[in-house]
Amino acid sequence: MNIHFGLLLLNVGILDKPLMKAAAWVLAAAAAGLYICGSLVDVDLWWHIAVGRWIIHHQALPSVDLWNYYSSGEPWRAYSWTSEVLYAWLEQAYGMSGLLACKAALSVLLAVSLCWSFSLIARDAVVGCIIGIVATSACYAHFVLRPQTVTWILFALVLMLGELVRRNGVKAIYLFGVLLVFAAWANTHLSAIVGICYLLVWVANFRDRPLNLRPVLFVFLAAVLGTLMTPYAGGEWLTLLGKFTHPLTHRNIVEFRAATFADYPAAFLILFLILLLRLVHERPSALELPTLAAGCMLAYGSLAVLKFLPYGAIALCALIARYWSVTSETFVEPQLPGLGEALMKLRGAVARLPSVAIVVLALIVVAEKTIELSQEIVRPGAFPEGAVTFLQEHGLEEQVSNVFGDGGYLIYRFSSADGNARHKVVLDGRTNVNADRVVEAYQEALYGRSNWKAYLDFGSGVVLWRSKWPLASILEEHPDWCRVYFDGGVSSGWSVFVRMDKLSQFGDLEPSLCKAAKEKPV
Amino acid sequence: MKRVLLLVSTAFFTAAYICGPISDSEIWLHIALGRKILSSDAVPQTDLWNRFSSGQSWQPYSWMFDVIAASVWNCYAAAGMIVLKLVLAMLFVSVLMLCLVSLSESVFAGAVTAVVAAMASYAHFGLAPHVLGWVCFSLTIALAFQIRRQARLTPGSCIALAAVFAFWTNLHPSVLFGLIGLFSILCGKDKQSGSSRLWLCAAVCLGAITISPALLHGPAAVLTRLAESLAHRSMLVFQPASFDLYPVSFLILLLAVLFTLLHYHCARLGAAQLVALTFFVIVGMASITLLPFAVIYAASLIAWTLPQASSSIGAMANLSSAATNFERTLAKVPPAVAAGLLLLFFCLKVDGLLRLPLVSQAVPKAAADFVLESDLEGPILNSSVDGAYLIFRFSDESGNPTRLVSVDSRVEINDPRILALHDGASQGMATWREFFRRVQPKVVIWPTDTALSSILAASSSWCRATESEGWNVYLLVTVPTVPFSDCSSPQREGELN
Repeated sequence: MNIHFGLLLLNVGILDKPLMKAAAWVLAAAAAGLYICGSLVDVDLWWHIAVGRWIIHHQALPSVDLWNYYSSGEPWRAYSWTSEVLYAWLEQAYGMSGLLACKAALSVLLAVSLCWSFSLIARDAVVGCIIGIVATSACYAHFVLRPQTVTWILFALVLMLGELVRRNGVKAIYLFGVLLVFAAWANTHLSAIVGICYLLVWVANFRDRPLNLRPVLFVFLAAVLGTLMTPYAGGEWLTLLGKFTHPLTHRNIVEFRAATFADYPAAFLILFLILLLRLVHERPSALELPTLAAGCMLAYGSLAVLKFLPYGAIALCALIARYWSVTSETFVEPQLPGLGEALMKLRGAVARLPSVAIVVLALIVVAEKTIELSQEIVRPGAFPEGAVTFLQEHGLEEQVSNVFGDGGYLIYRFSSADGNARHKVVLDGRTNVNADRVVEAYQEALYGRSNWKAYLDFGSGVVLWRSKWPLASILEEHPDWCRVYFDGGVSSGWSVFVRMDKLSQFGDLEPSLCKAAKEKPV
Repeated sequence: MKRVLLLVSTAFFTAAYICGPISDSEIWLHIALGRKILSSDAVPQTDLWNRFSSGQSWQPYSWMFDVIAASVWNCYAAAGMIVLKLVLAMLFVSVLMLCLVSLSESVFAGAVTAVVAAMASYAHFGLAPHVLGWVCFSLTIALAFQIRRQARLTPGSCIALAAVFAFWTNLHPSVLFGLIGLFSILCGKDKQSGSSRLWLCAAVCLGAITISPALLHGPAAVLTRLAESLAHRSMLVFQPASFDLYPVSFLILLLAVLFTLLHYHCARLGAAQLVALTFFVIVGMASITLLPFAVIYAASLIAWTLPQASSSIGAMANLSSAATNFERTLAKVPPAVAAGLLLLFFCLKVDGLLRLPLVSQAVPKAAADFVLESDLEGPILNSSVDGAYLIFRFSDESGNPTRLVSVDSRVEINDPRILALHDGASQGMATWREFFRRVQPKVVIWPTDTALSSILAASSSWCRATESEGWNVYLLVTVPTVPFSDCSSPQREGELN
């Protein structure tokens, strides 16, 4: 429903007053952005906050890991430190509400950036906004409060700057913009290389004979220089080299698996691809082959690793916008029968919408979504809040065997206000930190394979696990283990298990709980 | 003559390439069903092998294949089965090749497209009736294009269509796909004659489909349960295709070629064919077992578009140059040498297959042996994948069951509630207890390195009686037929310590 509102709200072309025009534009994007914003749900958010707290307190960046039991002291770079500091400050100053407000602001910023960027590339505000809003919707399933989200905004800005360089030639202001954007990117996430590679293809004009390499070279230098402007002086590149294969070697992590036809964002990407192919079918010369191939390769790569789907969606939308820019003068029959007419009609219909009504409708959508978000700041049952409280109350925090995704939350809860770890975790969501032997053993426990015990040997006899997952069923049956905490039923929630020989060390825990469970008839 | 020899050797090579040892457990179900049909001289009308659906109305829609499989197994055992699989592969590749050569009007282009399409089906190829469904689908598409070319329905085409559909309906329920493919191609621009041709074809095909002991029971039953079975994603065949799968890459390759051809000759295909192609691709991506239909349909459309493309080959620039260069390069190899090499590969592969016809690790043979030798009685709890093999092992030579399985891979007859519980138990979810409560098993046969196996190994209510070749047999500790000392359980180990 909201997406329909979003589409209705577009009215840039016909608004007569500049102020009203700007208000309608921003509000329409805000409504679209808020559509993809939900409660706080991302499991990695918590370790980012803990790291941010540490940075704020120590006024320095960590150079070694401090939170993981088996990697403590190993070299590690907090390459997302800007986001981490922001999250930690917001959490300290405004609590969960502050973090949710940040997420909402990020969603609006994303939508505005996409609309702005595509409007400029398409040379048509209405079309750019339509594409931007659809692209924003395509990011829906991946949108959470994490540094990676910021890079989608930066990617849109990179494409816009690349388009300006291509049209107007190399100018100092553009190069400065590229430098700033990549400096921001390198201080936010490791994926800057995606932006650099695509930018180089985007800037190049392959119709030039011979190919003019000057803008490509300047942009490349500005981008690389930007990525060196970090507290680690570009050391993130070394981290990237070490982490490059992680999406292919950590396939059990949801965000690293290949997309299937049943995934919501994959459907968007395929729709973009079909539309693009249909358009190119009619006008093969509208887009240069290397640019088109690079976009399709990025799209295909993002289908192979789910985490990168938004980059693929944004790249394809940018190609559609560029196609529009090149062909809009003749974008009617007979060049594009049927589809061209439909697109032009859609554009006209959106452009004719009354401006005041759009502003009012946008405000209603924004207000409705704001109320919805304020009623549920943190998704209930998304984090093991009760289970961790139980661990803390009973002094069971040391070397807890936990689920990969919960490690970040444990780091947050087991750290003090200055970010220092009171208790370290066995495994957490940082794929470049966890010890390989721990990860291998975890895989066995995760799927309940015969060697499930190996992972528990890394812990101290206390297990925090999701109740519906195999290991919980195994431990419930095993005579050596006792379930001492259980919440949320069997389909959701967490359980805490303690090994029987450890149970006597905790005077206030009563083993009758587990005995009762084991005596249940099958 | 040399070209024919090369074509035949290419078909042999491709068939040998896609054919591996028998690892698909479904074949055992077909043998058991075939034995029952042969012994009773009738197609069963009710299910006999599943504990929760025994006695319910059910008919084996692949009865013709079941009879062939059982006959071959009874006479020649494993060696006969691998030869049957090879014959099936050769039949599939040959038919596909002939159809695509005929459509493309080019031996080279048709053969290359057929080889690519056959290799795309590699991951799904097995000794199973669905392969005959692919053969019938290829024939149907080729017949449809022939009818379209002739612009009328000749008696010969009518008989051929009726024969294909009559054969198909007794082999596999995918006959519905044949109807969709057929009608999509016959929907031409000439509406008046096209319409009457369409109705006549529909009458012929539907008439042929009813020539089956099951009448429309097979397709109808499968359609009814298809939505339900799609919910049981633990079954490998019902999982959606992901973009890093081998056959998906082939399909994308074929689609890229097709779109390139359409780019230059968009008038060659009508909207109906594009809609049907979209349908087959979506269905194939939603459930990987159906992917080969999309591959065959896409390959057929490529072959159909090729003749027109070759008439204006200059317009296709790089693509046509690449194709021509490829053909010229291949032509430089003497046909006798090429055929010799291809046949040598075929012979080596056949030799390997005859040495190792069955993948014994694919089925719980040792576990079934243990149950039979120990004369353990049910109820037996098993996984759906193993159900087919256990039906075979727990049936006598007449196909009559001596023990019933709790769940098997026939989605149209298994109780959906039991299937859902089975899925949860397979993943080690806490609902495994409910599954056990419903089945009330005394014996469990389950793969070793899985969650449920770990749960039972940890449980003091169950003991592991044997562990062999990737499967465990667990017994309820109260089962009196096996001494408690033969079983290992945490409780028992604790007592011993």
